[in-house]
Amino acid sequence: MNATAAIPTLAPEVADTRAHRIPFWVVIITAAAVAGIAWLTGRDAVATAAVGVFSLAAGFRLGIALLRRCLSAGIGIVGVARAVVEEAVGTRLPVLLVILLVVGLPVLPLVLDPSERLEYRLQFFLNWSLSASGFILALVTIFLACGSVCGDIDSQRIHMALVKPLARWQYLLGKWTGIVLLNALLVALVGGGVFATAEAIRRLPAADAADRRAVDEEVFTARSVARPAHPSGADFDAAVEAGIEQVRKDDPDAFAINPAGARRRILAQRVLEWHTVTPDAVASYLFTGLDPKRLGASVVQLRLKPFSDSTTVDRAQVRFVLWLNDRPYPVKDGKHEEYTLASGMFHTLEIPAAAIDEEGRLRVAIANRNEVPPGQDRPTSISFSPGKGLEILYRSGSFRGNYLRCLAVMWAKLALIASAALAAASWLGFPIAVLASLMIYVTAVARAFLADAIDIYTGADRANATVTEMLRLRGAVLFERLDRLELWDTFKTITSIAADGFIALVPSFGAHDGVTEVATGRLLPILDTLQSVAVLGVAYPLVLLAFGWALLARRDLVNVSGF
Amino acid sequence: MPGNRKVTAIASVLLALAITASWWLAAGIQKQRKDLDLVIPTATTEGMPAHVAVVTAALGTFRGLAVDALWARADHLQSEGEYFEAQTLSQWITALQPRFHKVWAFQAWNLAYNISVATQVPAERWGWVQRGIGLLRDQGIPLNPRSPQLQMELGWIFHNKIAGKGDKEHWYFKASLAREIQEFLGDMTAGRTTDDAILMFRRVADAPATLDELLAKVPDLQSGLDLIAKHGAKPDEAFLRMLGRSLMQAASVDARILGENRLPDGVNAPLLAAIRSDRDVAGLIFDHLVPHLQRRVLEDRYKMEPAAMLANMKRYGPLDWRHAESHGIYWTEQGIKIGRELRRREDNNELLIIRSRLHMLAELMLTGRVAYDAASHRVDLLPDPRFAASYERSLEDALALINSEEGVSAGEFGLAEEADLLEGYETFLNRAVIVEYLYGDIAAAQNHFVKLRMMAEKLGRGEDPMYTSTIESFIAIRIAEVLAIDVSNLRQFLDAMIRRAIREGLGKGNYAAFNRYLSIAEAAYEKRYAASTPNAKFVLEEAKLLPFPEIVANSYASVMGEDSLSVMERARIWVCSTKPLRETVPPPVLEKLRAAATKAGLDPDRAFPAPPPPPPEDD
Repeated sequence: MNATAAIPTLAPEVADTRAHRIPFWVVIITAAAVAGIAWLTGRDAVATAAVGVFSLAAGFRLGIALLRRCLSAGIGIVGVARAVVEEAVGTRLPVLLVILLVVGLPVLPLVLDPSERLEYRLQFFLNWSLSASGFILALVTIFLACGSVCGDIDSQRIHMALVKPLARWQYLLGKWTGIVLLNALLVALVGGGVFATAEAIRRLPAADAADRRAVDEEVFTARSVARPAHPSGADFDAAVEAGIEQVRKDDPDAFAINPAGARRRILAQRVLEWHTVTPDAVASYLFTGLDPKRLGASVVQLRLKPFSDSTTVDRAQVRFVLWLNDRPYPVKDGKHEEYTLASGMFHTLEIPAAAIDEEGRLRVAIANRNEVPPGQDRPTSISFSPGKGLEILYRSGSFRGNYLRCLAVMWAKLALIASAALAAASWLGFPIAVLASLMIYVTAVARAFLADAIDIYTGADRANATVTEMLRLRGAVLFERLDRLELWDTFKTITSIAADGFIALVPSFGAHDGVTEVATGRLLPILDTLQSVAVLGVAYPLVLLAFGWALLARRDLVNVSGF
Repeated sequence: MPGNRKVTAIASVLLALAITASWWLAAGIQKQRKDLDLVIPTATTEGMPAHVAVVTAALGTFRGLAVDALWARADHLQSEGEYFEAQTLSQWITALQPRFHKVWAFQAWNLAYNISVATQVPAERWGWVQRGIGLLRDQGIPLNPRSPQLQMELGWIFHNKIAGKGDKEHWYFKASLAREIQEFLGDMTAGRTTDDAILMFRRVADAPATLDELLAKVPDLQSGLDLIAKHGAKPDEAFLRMLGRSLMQAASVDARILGENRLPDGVNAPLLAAIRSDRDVAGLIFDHLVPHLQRRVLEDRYKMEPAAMLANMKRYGPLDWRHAESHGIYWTEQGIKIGRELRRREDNNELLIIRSRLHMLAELMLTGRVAYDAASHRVDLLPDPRFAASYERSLEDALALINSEEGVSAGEFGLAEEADLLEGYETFLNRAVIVEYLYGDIAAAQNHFVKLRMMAEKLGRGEDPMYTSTIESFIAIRIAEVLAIDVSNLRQFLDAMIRRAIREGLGKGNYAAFNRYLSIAEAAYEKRYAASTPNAKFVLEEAKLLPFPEIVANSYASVMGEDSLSVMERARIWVCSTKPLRETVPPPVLEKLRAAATKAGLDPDRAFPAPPPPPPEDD
């Protein structure tokens, strides 16, 4: 008797699988009917949405059938995985969530504002459809994983499985495999649906030529970032050393406390000076690696965030002229035109790809043409934030490849959530396991925000500090507050240390975010994707499953009382 | 089991502590929520759209969390320069905090000012400004009808962002607003007296509010409605705008130059032809249906009350609703009306509002006449001296209010005083004299000049030659200051005046302005005036100056041969020039103009038709 036969495919309270498969057939038939009626009555948008629902629902049914066939061996891990798949289509909550996804996704384009620029509609759709799908799939994963293991334990079905030659680690791995395969199916369906809808939206009329170009060159593409080659060489190093020496002379005590920090500050200051264009001066920035043969686009984007050092006018304007490889740009009616941009904001300028030389280099020269602000006697400088403040975006890949990599990252995140939920369910009852899993998920999604919030709450905030530095800082603050008998603040500091520790253990989904890249047409590199899959989809699940196995191995399943 | 009992005991203690702590903190938190206006009792969801009411009531305590998350996301995306969610997030944030007027004001300002300047595409920039306006006008104000701040915020956006010059695309904004309004409201003030303009608008304000009322009043209109229906159209905004676009194209000077005589896109040509062919039906449609539709569009789309607009016109003059300042005045007035009904008037800085209104009227005096050409999307804003009287009346009313028992609130500075308003009066008088002389009523200009002289005497500047000589001298010196030219260089001054006459007068079809500028130049020529310093006079040798008509002709030829001026501008000047002036242009210059027209894609025969050959001489 194999493990599959030992594990009933339904929870005891579900009497008939067919009763719970009905929702999908209902969805399929209803969607087909709505599509037909809408098409006949001329409501094309509704018909298209209904066709989308039909396709997703039918795709889901076919996918499940395919999974069943693939997992038909029914032995050991595969058997457990097969059981999870059966549970997924047999249990209410996961089914309802999947229906929500299948129905909600094709309807999302209908709520887009048709007067909005096509570029923004597309970006909004890509961002929210993929993010919302990821959220719903995370919920499906959590409820399925927790429900499966906790259900087995509470109903004593787990004994039927474990009396067979099935180790506890195989049991957990089988659960995880089933969920991961199901997620692969759902991610593929969602991915296909979103892609097809995005293609359809792309074909809608654009607001104007600039809008159409933005759709083709800034959204439906994959662009890499090139930043100007920073100053280097003997002269630059000498300037940095001179600056460090000056600081050492001026304040030897402060320097001695943190010489590495002082060096970093001096270096940052020199780099910032290099990114500054003083009045009536011309600064030159060289971008390399822009192979014109591989670009495949007529334009690249120069993205910059200029700052005017005027203290009298908020959002003061900056004025400058550009040269591209020593040629003035743009030239209109024989005149070299100026740019006038608002300070402190990102601006994207289109640059003709033809300006790039054969060696893939583009030298951008910027001449400051600022006027004298009121109340001052000389024009202001223009500076760019090092890094994101001055960069070239150029096409280096296709939208499709980028999109597939984004789906891979999405799947990897779900694999991590599945393993966390299984580990929690190995030890906790269903409601607590779900809460714990949700806590991990929310922490992973909002890690940066939570870290900032904790820092602000405790008043111990230091930008760009490492975990060790923050723990050291918090330790110092804790002792100081204890010394002053500030009990409430002490309590806050202790909880913040605990929270920091927890946050440090949870990976940041924001750092592995493929959705924003896809929505903004930025390349998600293959190496980064592989790293994300390796970390989120393999390494963390292994650790979490091992942890879950250790908990399950020590758990007295006989005496468990549903807590 | 002992383990379970221990866990249960600990959990119970923690539960008790948590309940105690929440009870202790609840009162303080609730008070904070009320003070910050974050509480939305179910009763106050009355009047809200369904989706807003459901969200605000259903989210309950989590509303604050959702708002935090949305603000954080909006802030993060904006700092990264990604604006594709800005519109949607601002709508969601305001939906979650519908009664918090500062949220609406901030979001609208963010869209119209911050995000708009991130794009260099004029149409896209205008789109963001419109979103900011739409957020306040279509959602914020209807949800907060008793909040004067939102009305005044909207007025400010019109005044500062569109009518102002701060944004480098401000001309695009002005042209776009002019087109949008003229499409359905037409040009109600062109060439009309104040009374006629008000009469034209009264037809809209007094038009029946519904189609049924209209048909009850004018049963014959049914034939017009039948004709419209027969051609597949409906009596709605789309139909009204279609009519408007056709009329704008027909009236376009630039369309004639560009040779674009066809109907604009999207026009129902058979319907137009049918209306044109039946004069009775045309009369019914234009006299009755159009005013009704105009009223509906003003109320439904623009959320403006025609009766209040009419009241503003009666009070301030022939407000051209294609001008952003007119909208600024309207919304500011709406805000003032509500503000004065509030109990806590000291929270509003009424002095600031009055100053803004005076500034708007001064701007209308300088730019209140709108000339929009649909073919080239070009707008000209010319002075309208009729608003000088409105400014003075408004100032007098404000001074009376300051001196009244209720006074005028100056916010945290207490009550306002007369001196707070009079400092701008001298500037106004200076401008009023020039504008009225050049573009309007010389008698009114003289009147204001007298007042200016009296003010100058009071301030100890009565001996300044500017005030001691004639009004023409005053204007000549003032214009020379503006143009930064040295009046002692007569030739330079004459050329500047004549060029201004040509560009501001002929170039904009304003013959009155052309004649006035020329008369200033001629006055200076006749008087051989050359004194920018007191008591200094130059006597020029007449031989060094050509006769005045020749000077005009030379300047005209110079303007027409100036390549730095656009071909279109020179074509407009040519169109409005008299035959004698055209004949002063040497043939080589004319050939060059025609070649430039061809290069610019214009038909040279339309843009610069060659003068007809002289008639053969009779023997």
